[in-house]
Amino acid sequence: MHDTFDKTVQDRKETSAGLMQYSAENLVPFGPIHPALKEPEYFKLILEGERIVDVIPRIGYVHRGLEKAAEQRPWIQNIYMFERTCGICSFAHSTAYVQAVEGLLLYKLPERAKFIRLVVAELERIHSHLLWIGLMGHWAGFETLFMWVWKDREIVLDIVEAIAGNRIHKSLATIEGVKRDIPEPLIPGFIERLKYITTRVHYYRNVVDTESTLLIRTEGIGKISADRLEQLCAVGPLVRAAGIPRDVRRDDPYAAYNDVPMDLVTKSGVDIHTLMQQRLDEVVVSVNMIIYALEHMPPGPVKLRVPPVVPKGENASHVEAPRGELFYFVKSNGGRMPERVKVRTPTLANLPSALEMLKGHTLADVPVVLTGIDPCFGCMDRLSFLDRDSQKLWRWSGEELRQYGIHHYFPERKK
Amino acid sequence: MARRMRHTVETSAVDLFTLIEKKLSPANAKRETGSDRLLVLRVPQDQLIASLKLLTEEMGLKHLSTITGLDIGDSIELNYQFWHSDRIVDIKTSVSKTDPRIETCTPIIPGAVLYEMEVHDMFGVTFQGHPWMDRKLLLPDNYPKDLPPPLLKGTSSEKIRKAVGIEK
Amino acid sequence: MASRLASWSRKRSPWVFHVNASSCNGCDIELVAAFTPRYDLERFGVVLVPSPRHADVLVVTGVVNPQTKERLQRIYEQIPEPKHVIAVGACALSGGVFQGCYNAGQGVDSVIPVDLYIPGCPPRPEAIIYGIRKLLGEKDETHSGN
Repeated sequence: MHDTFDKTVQDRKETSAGLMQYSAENLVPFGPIHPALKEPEYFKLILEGERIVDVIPRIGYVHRGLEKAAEQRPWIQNIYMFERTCGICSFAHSTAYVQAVEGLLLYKLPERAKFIRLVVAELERIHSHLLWIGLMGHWAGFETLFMWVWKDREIVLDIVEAIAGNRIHKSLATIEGVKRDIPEPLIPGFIERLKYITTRVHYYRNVVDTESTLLIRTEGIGKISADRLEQLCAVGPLVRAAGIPRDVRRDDPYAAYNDVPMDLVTKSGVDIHTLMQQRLDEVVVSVNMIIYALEHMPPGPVKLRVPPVVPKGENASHVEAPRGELFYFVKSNGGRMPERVKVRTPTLANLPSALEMLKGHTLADVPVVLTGIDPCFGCMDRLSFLDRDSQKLWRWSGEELRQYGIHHYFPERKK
Repeated sequence: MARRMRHTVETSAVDLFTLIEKKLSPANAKRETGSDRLLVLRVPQDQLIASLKLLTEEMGLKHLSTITGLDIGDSIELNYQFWHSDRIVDIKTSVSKTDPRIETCTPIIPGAVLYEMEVHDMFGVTFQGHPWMDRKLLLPDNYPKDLPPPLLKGTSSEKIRKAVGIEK
Repeated sequence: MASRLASWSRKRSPWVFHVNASSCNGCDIELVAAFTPRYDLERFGVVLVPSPRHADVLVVTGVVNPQTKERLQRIYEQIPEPKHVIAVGACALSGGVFQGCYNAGQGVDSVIPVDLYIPGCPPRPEAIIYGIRKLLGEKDETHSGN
């Protein structure tokens, strides 16, 4: 049943002597492991009986070396590279980068550009949250939810395409502005579509609260306390669902967030079900903000012409990407290329919390809990499992794990 | 009318920065040029943990956004960047390139566990007491041990590409 | 006779295994979107399978960095013959915008043989559907000179 791709794994004798028990006094979320445990390239979940007791993370599958490359490319060119750090929150990346650079240039950003940045950032949030809800349906075994939500999500991508010309990598942010204006005649059509999205989201909110397939797989699953999230420096909807009112848009407003009213969505305790409610409610808030911004958009230019040279200095900037705080740091030596660009993605900030959330759960809950923090696609495909008692080591693809979870909860679906 | 709900920050930003500077003065913290939203404090290497303790436990700045490494010539500068309300606080310290070691801050800030691993990968800094200094976070497994870390200015991208098998 | 029947049925219903090899996820979400109702790749019989051993077609996205190279090769070897490989997106074609980055590969065909390239950053779901159908050798009535 457990398909091991590597024959030598079964021959390998591994002792558990080196595996340290995670103890409550040890604040770091994962313990040291025995150096004999090979295959470091996979995320490893350590099982004791049915339950996960430890998780050894290994990322680096998407590591391409952007920070180094940025030091050899002009400031403007880096926008197009950094927005491709992630296809789902691409505009957040380009916005955070240009904001960090603008903090060194000290021009006055045009007001209309600020509003357009807000509109596109919130559209991206909606697309990302809807994408995630659909994926939750897929991983939990509720394929219909996935298909319906992604169908509705296409409407959001239509609006994005009408504004930016592309659905995913919008290439819209530029230093001191945005590259394209929003054509006024299109705005009523956008508002109509966004109102439709709100009605759909209310429907899905009801589904999330009443559909037994989802409830059985998400209620009480993936709990973590607000204190632990603070200790682990988590960000985004994860901490807001725990009741911590932290949001870059509210605390450190950028773009037009000072001028557009926002309701902060918080819940009172994290589990996967609450995270679904949290993200759906955030979509409704985003729609309201976009409509307000479109109706109150100030006239004027959308960008300024700036020299290709950035004055010497250091600056940090952050934005509220759909998954949480996205942090950029830039350093200029007064030249045409950066001296240093540092990126900290929200998924990295939330990874220790996500792995903590996995502990104590069974294998069948792994896909739902991991998807709960909204990780990148790649992470789910690279999981290996070690049963501490039998010393059996095996790997599953993401799809095999998903099937396992569905058959565990809904054995009637087994063919 | 814009509705902007702020965190309860009793003091204005300028006073907050002065307060932090004062609070960290036992750790020999020196203020450097920042801006009205970015406070930069430099501390000696042996005072880093003490200053982080003062910042997190006594000033309540618990959210560490990240740890940024910088190659500044003969040393590696470490920036511990905190986000508090609408301000960013950057605690800077340096380790020499000939002996790039410093104590881990994970007992005070467990959330720094992956940030220290990233700096270890990219700059070769060893965080003493961190449980995972022998493992990689981001770099490929076949990154040669004798090749300097990637983000040091002296390491060329072409050399790395040849060493990890992307180019012949 | 049996092999001709098998190849006819394979053409009518390609089983696809998708690999994300250091992709930013842009191409992956457009590929997955191609299976959702607006585009509906499944009406052409295309199905995503959970294991490479069941697949006819391998779809790869991303630059293929050193950490994913071995896994990609291993997966390729597990797909039974006859097999086809589709490289989706600028990164899979050549490294895309990451060319020259110290940990970015040179595209999928530097690791495994590729039969079809679908350019774009990311390519639209329509482009992905067009590409897969082209691989199947199907004539598309809406386009001339296929």
